[in-house]
Amino acid sequence: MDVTIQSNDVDRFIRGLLLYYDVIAPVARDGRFVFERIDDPSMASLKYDTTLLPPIKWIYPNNEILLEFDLKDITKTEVVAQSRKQVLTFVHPCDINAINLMDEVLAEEPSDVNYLTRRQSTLIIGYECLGPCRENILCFDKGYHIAYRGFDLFFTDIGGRYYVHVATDAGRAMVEGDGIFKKAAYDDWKDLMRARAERKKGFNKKAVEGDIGMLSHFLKEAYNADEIWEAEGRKCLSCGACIIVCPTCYCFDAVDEVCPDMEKGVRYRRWDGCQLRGFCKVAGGENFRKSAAERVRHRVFKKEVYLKKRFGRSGCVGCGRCIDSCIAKISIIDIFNRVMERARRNV
Amino acid sequence: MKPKIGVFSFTSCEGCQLQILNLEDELPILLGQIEFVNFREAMSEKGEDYEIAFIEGSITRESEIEELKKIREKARILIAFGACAHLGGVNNLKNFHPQGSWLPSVYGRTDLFSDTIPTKRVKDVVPVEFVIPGCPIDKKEFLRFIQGLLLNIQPRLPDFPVCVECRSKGNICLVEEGKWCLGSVTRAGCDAICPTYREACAGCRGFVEEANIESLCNILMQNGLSKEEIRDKFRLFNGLEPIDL
Ligand code: SF4
Ligand code: SF4
Ligand code: SF4
Ligand code: SF4
Repeated sequence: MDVTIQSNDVDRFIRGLLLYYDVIAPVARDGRFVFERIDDPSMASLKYDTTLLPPIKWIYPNNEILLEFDLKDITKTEVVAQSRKQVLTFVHPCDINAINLMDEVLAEEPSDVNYLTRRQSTLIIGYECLGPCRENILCFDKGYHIAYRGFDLFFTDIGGRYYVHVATDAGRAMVEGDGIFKKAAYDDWKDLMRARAERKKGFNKKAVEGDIGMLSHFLKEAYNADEIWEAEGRKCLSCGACIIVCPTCYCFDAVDEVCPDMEKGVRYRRWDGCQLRGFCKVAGGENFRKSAAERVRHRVFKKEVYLKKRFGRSGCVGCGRCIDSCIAKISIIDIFNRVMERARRNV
Repeated sequence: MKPKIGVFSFTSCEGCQLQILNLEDELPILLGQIEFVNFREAMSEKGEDYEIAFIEGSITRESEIEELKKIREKARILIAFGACAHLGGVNNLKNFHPQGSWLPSVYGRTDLFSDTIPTKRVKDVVPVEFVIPGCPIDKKEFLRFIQGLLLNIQPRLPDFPVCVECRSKGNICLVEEGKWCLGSVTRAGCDAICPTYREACAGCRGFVEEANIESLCNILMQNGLSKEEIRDKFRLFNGLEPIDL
């Protein structure tokens, strides 16, 4: 079933959601956007470009508590996995595709109960991109600018109103009742097709030159290409910005914190990742990825080779956050292009 | 037996001691497990039977060297807390001017503090077992240190840079905006408080291991800072660190 909603009714729709859910929406902040919990529809921006942090972080929050323990009796340790009912609204396709991938990655045994618990109480409203939203993106190269699943509702701007694809029962429940939504008619569908034709015109420039299907193969061939990895490694500050902002980075460190009375404590997880020096440090002080060059290479391989091998598709959804947030101007697009160019040279 | 603690202050603003006292909710509970025997800002008794000494402040006068050495002899564990003790703090700035030339501008006369010497970090004078960084220290980090001591666990300082905390909060990066910030080479643990309030990280918690100073300098120069300006930013807290600018 598909429906439509007038643009100026969206506020009413959000107000309705607020009665039942925590509503997480793109909110403007100093010229950029962030996904924040809103308490008033006027805070939400439907038109926004890639947010600073991806919406998945609401399903995988920083400093989430995993365990509660009792220092006097460690057998009393309890797993904590809680979630409130929440709706992530107006999520772009790249970010939906990232959540779809993480749904698979984190469901692998041993599954991540905290992620899965939150995921189960999360509804997702998608928002179609009819053109590239920022400069440094490569979603289009990988087809990640379109989402086919992973949402309950999906909004497309068809001029003055939205075409809303209802994908699940939960989605149906959101649009039923109070008469805000109308059943989609033939004219609405025609406008949707028109908008999608515009989308094709909007997404017309690939960021990576060459056959993207071959990229992971070419990367493997470039494993020892020091002219790429050493050069990037010299620039890299190992600051971790790129792995914190990435929607498909899910590594963490477990940290224990004890109450002042020293009787009880919690174990929580803190976002962590492969670009940080301490990440690969193991007992005894050994570090199995000592240089920044090795770490940069690992990040690129993790996205484009390892995740792809395991899950059949690239782990980089092309959102471009890592590129915009790297103050050393290390760009995954640029690296991919150099790998492609190297392959062309070597044929 | 409760561990006995002494808190001592050298050249500093004494704001780090105040951070300990700011643990208003936790201190009453903590005092069931530890005992302060010497803590000038908090009590008038001056016990000498401490086994753990917290040192605040840098060493900037001849007489302070002897005082510090005496404390070291008595203490089993000595902790440098706060940027002054850890790095020399802002006091290190005087080392970049001819010795004593700043006396008139600071004090209006030259006959005060005649035993002034170039600023030293605590570790330049005596061995230090542990550091609690920051200007001022994070009171929670102090609490965790005490808890670690009581549980016999070596406390861990974050070994990643401030950017991790800053980005995790969804902040907009000052360097991305064309400004300066030292967060990418500075040890985290302050929850990126300065960039969160849109102020540059000045590096008060000291450098992370293997900080890529060279790359950051190149970035800051592209943002329009001169080499001298960058050097001055680094000097505010890290002037005594062995970096080549
Ligand atoms: S954001 Fe850039 S400089 Fe920082 S760790 Fe990632 S690649 Fe390195
Ligand atoms: S690797 Fe970069 S571009 Fe790809 S999904 Fe992660 S942040 Fe986005
Ligand atoms: S503002 Fe400073 S601390 Fe924050 S990300 Fe940018 S460089 Fe790092
Ligand atoms: S952001 Fe930098 S200057 Fe500010 S408290 Fe943290 S380490 Fe110190």
